[in-house]
Amino acid sequence: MVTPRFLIYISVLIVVTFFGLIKFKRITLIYKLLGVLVLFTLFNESSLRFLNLSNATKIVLYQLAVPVTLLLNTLIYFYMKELKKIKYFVLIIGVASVFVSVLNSVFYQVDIFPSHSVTILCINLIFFSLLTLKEMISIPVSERLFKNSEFWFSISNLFFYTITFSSFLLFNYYSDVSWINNLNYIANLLLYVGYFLAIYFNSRKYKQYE
Amino acid sequence: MNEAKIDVIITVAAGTILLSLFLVFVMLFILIYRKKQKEYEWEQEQVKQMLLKTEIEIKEQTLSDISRELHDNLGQVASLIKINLGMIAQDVPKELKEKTNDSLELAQQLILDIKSLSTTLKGENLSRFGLYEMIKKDLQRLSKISNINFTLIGRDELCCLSSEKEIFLYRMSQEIFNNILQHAQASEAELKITNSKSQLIFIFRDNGIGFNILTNKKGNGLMNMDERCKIIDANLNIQSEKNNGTRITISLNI
Repeated sequence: MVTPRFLIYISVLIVVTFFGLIKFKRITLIYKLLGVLVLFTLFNESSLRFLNLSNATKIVLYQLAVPVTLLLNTLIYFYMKELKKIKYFVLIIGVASVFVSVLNSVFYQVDIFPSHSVTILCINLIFFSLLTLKEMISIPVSERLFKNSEFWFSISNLFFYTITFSSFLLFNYYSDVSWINNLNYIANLLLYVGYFLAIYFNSRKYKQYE
Repeated sequence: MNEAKIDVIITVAAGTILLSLFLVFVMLFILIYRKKQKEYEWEQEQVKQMLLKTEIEIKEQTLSDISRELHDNLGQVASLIKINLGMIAQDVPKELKEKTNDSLELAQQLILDIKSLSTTLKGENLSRFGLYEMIKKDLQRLSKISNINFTLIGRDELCCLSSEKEIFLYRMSQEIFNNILQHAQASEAELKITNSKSQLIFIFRDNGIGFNILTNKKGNGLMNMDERCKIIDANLNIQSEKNNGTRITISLNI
């Protein structure tokens, strides 16, 4: 059943995806990858909700979302100018984590979701976001912070994945998880609002250089 | 209180703590970033000013070299030409006398012009003649070579200025006068110097075609002038309208 809650979520995803597609030629590679990530999420979430899939297929789609999200985010941080000096370190950690999460989904937690892969994803993205923010402080630019795409991208990731990481810890402890789900839902919406702002400010910067 | 309710309370409390921590983190990040950004901008400004200062020093050195070359070499050659012409003038037939005398006058004029230009180019002359006198010499020379009537108003005692500030003010004045000469299409131009105990004000005015400040603001000359003013802690104010002349004010606390 399609709930209003899900409709709001999918609408936000559609808006961000379409915005990313419209601005695709006018954004840098990092935000093109971000656009692809949002498109993938939209495709994944829609398939899970609208197609009459078996539980096994659903689990596969859930499991697939983690390495794809991790890989695309790793590539985004790899190309980020703030992490230029340590980009290969980011790439090695990211790819290794993708590999571990795939192994986990294939051999250990085949039918379980949320799995340890989510924890790996969260730890990686929290770490990369913190690294980016730290580097932003080390090498500031004259541009206003609230117009900085990298700030919006990293802060959104940090917020969402911190909440997700904490929620999955709480999941294991509490029997009634509706409040945790609500918290996660709001954080998810805010993540895509942050992504939207990141793409928007990047497209504006691109326009200025034209 | 049942177990489910306690769970909800704990979850809300945990969520609130988490969100609060995140907000504190974001606020701290913004504060630190802004502080670093200001430091970075200040450093950039310092580097820019240092580069400009070096550029001006090199320019001064080049001008000084050209001035010396004009005075010692071209000036000497012109003097020799004048002496030779003087000697020729004694022996030439009557019909050529007039032309020879004209050439002698031209040679004399050339010597004076070289001397005047050499004085203007040499920044070190500022300490010899003073800022007011140097600007006066410039304006006299410019009035002679153009159709613009340049006027200098003010007292000739400009005390308490460091040699660095004097040179900056002098070069800026020269740039403004050159701009008037090249672009303003003016018939009248004046510089009014007001000198009080605490402030020195230079007001440049012309009755030329003016310009649009908004579109010309980022022009190299104006930007340079703005930067130079910053270096000597002076304020620059430009007022201009199309077909309504230009007024440039440089005020300096002393």
